[in-house]
Amino acid sequence: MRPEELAHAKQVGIAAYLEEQLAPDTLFRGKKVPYPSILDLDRTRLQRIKNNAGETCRIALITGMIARAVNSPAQLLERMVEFWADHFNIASDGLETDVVDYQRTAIRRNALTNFHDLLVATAKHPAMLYYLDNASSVAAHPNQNYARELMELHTLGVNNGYVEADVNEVARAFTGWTVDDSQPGGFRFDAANHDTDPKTVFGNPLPGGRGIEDGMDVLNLLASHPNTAKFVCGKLCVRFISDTPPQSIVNTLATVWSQNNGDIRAVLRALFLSAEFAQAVGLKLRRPLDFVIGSLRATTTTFTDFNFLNDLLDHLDQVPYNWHPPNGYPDVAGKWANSNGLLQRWNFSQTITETALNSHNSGMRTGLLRRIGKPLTVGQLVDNLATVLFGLTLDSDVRVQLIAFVTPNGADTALTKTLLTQKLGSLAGLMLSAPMFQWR
Amino acid sequence: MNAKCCPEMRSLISRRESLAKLARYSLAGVAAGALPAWMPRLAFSASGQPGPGDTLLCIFQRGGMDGLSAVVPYGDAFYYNIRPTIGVPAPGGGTNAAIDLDGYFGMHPSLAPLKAIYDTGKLAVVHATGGIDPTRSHFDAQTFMEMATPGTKSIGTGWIGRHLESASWVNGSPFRAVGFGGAVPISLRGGGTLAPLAVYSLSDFGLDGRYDEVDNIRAQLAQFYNVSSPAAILDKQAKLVFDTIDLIKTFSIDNYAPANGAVYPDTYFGAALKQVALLVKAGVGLETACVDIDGWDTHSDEGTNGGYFAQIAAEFAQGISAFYTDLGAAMQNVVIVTMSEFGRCAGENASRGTDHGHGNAMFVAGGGVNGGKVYTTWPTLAPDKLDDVDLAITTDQRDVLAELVDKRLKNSQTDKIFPGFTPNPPGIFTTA
Repeated sequence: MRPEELAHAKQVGIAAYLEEQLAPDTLFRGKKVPYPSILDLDRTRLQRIKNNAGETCRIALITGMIARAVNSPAQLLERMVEFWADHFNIASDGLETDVVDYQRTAIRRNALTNFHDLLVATAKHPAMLYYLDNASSVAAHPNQNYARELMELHTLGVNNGYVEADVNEVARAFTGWTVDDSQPGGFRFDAANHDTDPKTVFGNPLPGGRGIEDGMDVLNLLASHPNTAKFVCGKLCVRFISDTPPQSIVNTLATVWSQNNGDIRAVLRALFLSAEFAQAVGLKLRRPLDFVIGSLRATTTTFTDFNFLNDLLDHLDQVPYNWHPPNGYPDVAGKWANSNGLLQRWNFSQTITETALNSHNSGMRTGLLRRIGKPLTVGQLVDNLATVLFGLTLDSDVRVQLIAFVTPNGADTALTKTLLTQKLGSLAGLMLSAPMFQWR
Repeated sequence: MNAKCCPEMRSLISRRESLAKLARYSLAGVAAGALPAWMPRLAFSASGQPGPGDTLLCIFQRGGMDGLSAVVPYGDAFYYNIRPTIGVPAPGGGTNAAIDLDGYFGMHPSLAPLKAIYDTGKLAVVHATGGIDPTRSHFDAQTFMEMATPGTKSIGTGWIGRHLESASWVNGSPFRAVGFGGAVPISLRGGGTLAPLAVYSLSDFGLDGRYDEVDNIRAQLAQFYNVSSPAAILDKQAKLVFDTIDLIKTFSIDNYAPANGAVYPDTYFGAALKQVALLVKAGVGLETACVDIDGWDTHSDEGTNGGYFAQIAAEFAQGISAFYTDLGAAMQNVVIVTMSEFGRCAGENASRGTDHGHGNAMFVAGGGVNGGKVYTTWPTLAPDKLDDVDLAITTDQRDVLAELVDKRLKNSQTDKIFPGFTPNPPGIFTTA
């Protein structure tokens, strides 16, 4: 949170702040967060983009994701869009135009609504139909890819209420669910290729002689299944509380989920007002993208050169929409706390501070100099930076170390323009590199 | 990875600290010109020596390789019944035909570079092998395989990690266990003191910062992360970063030239293998390296006959072949093992691809391999011999790995590395 946002949240209280965030339309108050206009195009218009539509869309997806995460007042919406984009992951390679539409109409539109609607929207979207191959699944030889990941990753959790035979039964239920480019939504049920024999899916009979109802019934059964509630609530707790959240809060949220038929807002309300959430400070290692977004927000740095940004994200190992397996970017420290990741964070920090401030044609713009106010001494510089970057005052020993980094002469040393130019970038970069900035 | 754009933006940033600092490490006790230009200039301390066994290169084919297209059972009458459109033709059946291995199995034509090693007797195929847990989930199957504990993840460590932590020797090199990529693979994870290195690119592994501040930045980072006495998880990684940077400074990675005319594929996989070869030859304490090659999840339009599968199989084979060629005589003390989380369905699906299956093929190569042979108890693809609808597993992969650890890595503590498992060595490896 930026200091001004923190102040607002403190002023209105946590519960009221949460309600604002759960109704994101009210937050924009006529102001539009700038993001690439391509992201608002419908599928037909996206298909009309000429000259390298894939790369155009990929750039829009990544820059739009970061611009919104950095600048939007609807921060919870952006967090949930990211959460669901991981949960219903689709790598954009070769599917870029469809992923733009998928992110807008399936993920973003349903991010704070109801899990059932979200699940159905993803199931019918051409991006998912292609990504997990259901588009070519026919009665004669069902393709199991979507059926398996639907249960393993999107709803029940692995081996959590289904057996291997169910994968084939569910695949049969979805035969004929395919893409039709002449339809506005791109979805078509192809009755001729649907398996009309009776099926049994995780203990539930599906009568023979039917069509799209088979797949819809499976989605309904999965969305209302108690194991889905537990699995998805567990993942929410891992995202927002800790890598190993207390089972108590997972159970509480699963109950709220079931009582409210998968109403996402009801679950988030229970999560963010829980004691477990309130106590969860500094338990989560920020994922690289979270670190990047936090750094850009804190320093008000923007990239004018997309390829430069893309390379940095690549070094950090988390380019948005570029995780190829269907399980989404991992969400635990075991994946991210490694030598490559740490070094790349340090280097990213120096790049968006020192390079952005002092290198000609850096490919970035930064408002860092403006944000620190007018410090007169080295002590004030360190303190102002701590407020801007961390929203807090520093432990005294860290403060002493950082002052020593700038000058051997102590906190009251006058901050000359020369000293500021020499030290500001490296100092700010160091602070973003500190352990306290890697955890949330 | 691409080079960063706009060189001028980096005008104040030095990638690898100052040249003056580099000079401090130059040529101590080594005659100039006696070694290739990229060779390390530091003698490695006695505590940083690898163990008495081979250096291990473990290649993980993520996504589930289609073993029935890689090593084709063309002698199995059922194969072409269930692979009517994507089956690889038997040897002699045209340009896409398999290359005969033993009169029953043939290698996919894209794997021809591996066939050349097979013919020297230093590469073996194991077929109808894999992780015995029935899961068809990528993520569970990969985790079980990397932990080598089918059906349970509770051990939390990888088979290579346990090998290194149970070994009788000490090796303090930051390169003892290296995972190429953004993260440490599960195979390398230990439960105690082992600190595996994750590295994307050795030549990029340096501290950025303003040239006249980078030493101060480093000193402050070392304080932030308590590098002199690391305790927290990031502290340990910070120490590993600094140790690695200091060691990398002693050799010139960008000047590395593969030997014997070896040509690596111009891909991430190829680049990673080249760096493993460099580390082996540099003698900087590398004991085990893990490299991934992604993209084997061929549910649709698999392209066994000239399409996608053929391409990725070619990259895989060319990479291994280049590594083998580059190392030359040094392969006598290197062992390569490949694995993939599962094979694919015996039959093809409607999308001309294959869904998640079970039994698979794996490759082992190196000086200590009794190669030129397909090791298998072939279950056949007869409908009543399939595991569900997939190739059955008749050789537990741990049999192969346990023999490798014992005979080639010289660690006899296989009961600790493969807990609860009694290996049945297939006789693939020599002890000499």
